[in-house]
Amino acid sequence: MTQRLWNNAGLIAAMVVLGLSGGGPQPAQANALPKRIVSLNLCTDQLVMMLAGPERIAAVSHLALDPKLSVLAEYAKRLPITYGQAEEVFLHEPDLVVAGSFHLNPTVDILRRLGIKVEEFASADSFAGIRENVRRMGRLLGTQEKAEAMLAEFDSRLARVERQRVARPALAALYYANSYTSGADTLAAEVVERAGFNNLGTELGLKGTAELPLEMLIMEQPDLVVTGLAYDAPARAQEVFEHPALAYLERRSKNTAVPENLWICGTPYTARAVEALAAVRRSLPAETAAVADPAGAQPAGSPFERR
Amino acid sequence: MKDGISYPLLLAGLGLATVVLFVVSLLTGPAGISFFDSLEALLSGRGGAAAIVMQEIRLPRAILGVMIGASLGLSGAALQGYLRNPLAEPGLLGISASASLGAVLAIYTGLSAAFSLALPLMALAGAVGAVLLVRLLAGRGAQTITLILAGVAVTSFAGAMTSLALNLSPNPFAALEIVFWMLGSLKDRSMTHVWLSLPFILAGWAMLFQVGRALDALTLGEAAAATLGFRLERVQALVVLGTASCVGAATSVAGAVGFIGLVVPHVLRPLVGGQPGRLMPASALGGAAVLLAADIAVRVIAPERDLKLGVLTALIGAPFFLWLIFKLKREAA
Repeated sequence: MTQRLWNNAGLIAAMVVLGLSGGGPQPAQANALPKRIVSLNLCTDQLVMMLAGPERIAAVSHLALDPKLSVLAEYAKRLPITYGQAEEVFLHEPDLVVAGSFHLNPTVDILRRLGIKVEEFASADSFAGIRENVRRMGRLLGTQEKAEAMLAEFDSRLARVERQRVARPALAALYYANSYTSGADTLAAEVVERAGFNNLGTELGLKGTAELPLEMLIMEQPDLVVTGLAYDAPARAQEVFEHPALAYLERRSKNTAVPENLWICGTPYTARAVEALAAVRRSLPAETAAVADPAGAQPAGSPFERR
Repeated sequence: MKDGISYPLLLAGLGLATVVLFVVSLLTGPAGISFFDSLEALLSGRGGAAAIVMQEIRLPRAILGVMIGASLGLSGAALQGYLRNPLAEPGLLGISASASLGAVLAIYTGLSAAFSLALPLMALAGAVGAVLLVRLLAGRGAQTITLILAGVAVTSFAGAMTSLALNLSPNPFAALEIVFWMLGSLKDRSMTHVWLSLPFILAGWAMLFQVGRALDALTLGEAAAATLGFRLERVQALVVLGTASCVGAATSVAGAVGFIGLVVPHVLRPLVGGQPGRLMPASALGGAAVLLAADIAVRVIAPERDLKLGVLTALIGAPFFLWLIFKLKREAA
C-alpha cells in the first residue's frame, strides 16, 4: 500500500518535472534553478563542480575526493560526499540528482520513485560528447554562459595543439592495468589521435576498452607507450607494468603517463591531456621508431604503414 | 604388469605428450609468429620483439604450466595414497584456496613488494595451515565424507577471507582479482615468477618422491607399514610439507587451479597397477600435460579474454568428480 502511494507520488512528480522541463523552449527561469544538487557519478561530479557554485551543491560522490581520478579533488573536500546509496542521497533533500547512465542503476530508480528529479549523463566517449555534456549540464544548472566560456577555452586549447601538430602521426599504445587498452570510439583514442598519434588499439581493430595482449604490444613496437592508472596500493592488475617484456619495450619506445583525472572523464580539462601528449609527440624524433629499428625487428606483414 | 602397457612405456608416452604440449604452448599466442621464426627467436635470442615475446612471455608461461601441472598431479597422487582416500586433492581439501589466501595477504598488504620471497612463503604457510586444519577437523584415518567436508569448510573459509582481503584493499583493481585467485591463470607471467616459485616447487617434489615406497607399504595398512620400518610421522611430515611447498608456490604465482590433482591420478591409477609409488611420477607428467593442454585451450578458445584455467579444468573435473561419487556409492552399497 505504502509502496503504491510512493509509486503514485513518484509518477506525479515525474509528470510535473516533465511538464516543467518539456513545456517552454527556455526552462531556465531563475526561481526554477536547482539549489540542492547531488551528483552520484565521478564524471557528473566534475561538471557540477565546474559549473555550479559550492553553495548549490548538496553532495558529490566519494570518488570526487580522489586526486588520481578527480581534477577538482581539492575543491571537493569542502563538499559533503555520498557513497551513492539512495538513503544518503534522499537525506540531502536534493532538488536535482545527476548520475551516470552507463549501467542499470537501482539507486536512480528508487530516487525517481521518491519524486526526485534525476538526470542521467552518458560518459563522454568523444570530444563531441564532452561538448554535449557540458552544454546540457549548463542548461540544467542555468549556467550556460559559464559552460560556453569553458568550451571556448577548451576549443582554443585544441586549436593551438592542432596548429603545432607534427604532420606525420607516430604510433601510440595505451596500456592499462590488466593489459587493457582503448580502441575505436573511446575518448582516450580521440585524445591520442588529436595529439598527433595513431592509436594502436584502433589500428588493431579493437573497439571500446578491450584487452591488448602483452605480446601484441611488444610485437607492434609503438613509438610511445602511455601507461594507465596505477594505485599506490598493490594489485596483481598492476604487475604487468613491471613485466620484463614491457621493460624491453620501454628501452626503445618512449614511455609516459598522463594524469588520469584529465581524461578518465570527458571534461574541458581533457584538452590538457591532449596538450601533454602533443608535447611528447613533438619531443619524439621526426623519424619515428619505424625507421630507427634494425632490419628484421619489425614483424613481417605489420598492418601499420607509418609513412 | 600383465594387462595394458608397461610402466616405462607409460612414462615415456606421458613424457612425450608433455614435451609436445610444451612446444605447442610456446607456439600459441595472439602475435602470429611463424613456427620457424618463433623457435629461432627463442633459441638464438635474435629477432628483437619476437625474441622478447618468446623468451619473456611464452617461455615462462610454458615452464610454469609444466611446474604447476606436475605439482598438482604429483600432490594429488601423494595425498590420495597417504590418506588412502580417492577424493583427496589439493583443491578439494582446501590447500589451494588457503595457499591463495596466504598469497593474497602477501601481495595486497605490500609485504611481497618489500620482500619477494614473502609471496611463496605465505602461500606455503597457508597450505600447511590447511592440511593441518583438515587433519584436525577430520581426525586420523577419517572417512572419505568427513575429509571432504573438512575440505569444503576450509575452502569456503579461505575463499571468504580472500574475498574479504581483496574487497578491503584500497586499490579498486584488487576486488576484480578474486576470480584469478579462485580459478587461476598463467596470463602475463614472467621469468621472475618462474625463479620465485621454482625452488619451492623442486623442494616439494623432492619431499614427495621420497615417500613413494612408504605409500606403497601404506596400502597394506598403517600397522603393516610400520612393521616394514616406515616411520609414519616422517611420512606425514614429508607429504604435508611437500604438498604445501609445491602447491603453495604454484598457487602463489598462478592462482588456485582445481581438479587436476583429482582427475589425473584417477585416470592413471589403473595403468600403474594401483601402486602410489609408481603413480606419482606418472601423475606428475600427466598433470603437466593436462595443465599445458588447458592453458593452450584458453588461448585458442578465447584469445583475448583471459579465460581462467580453473574454468576449463572444472569443465572436465566436476563431471568426473560426480562420476567418482557415484562410483564410490555403488562400491559402498
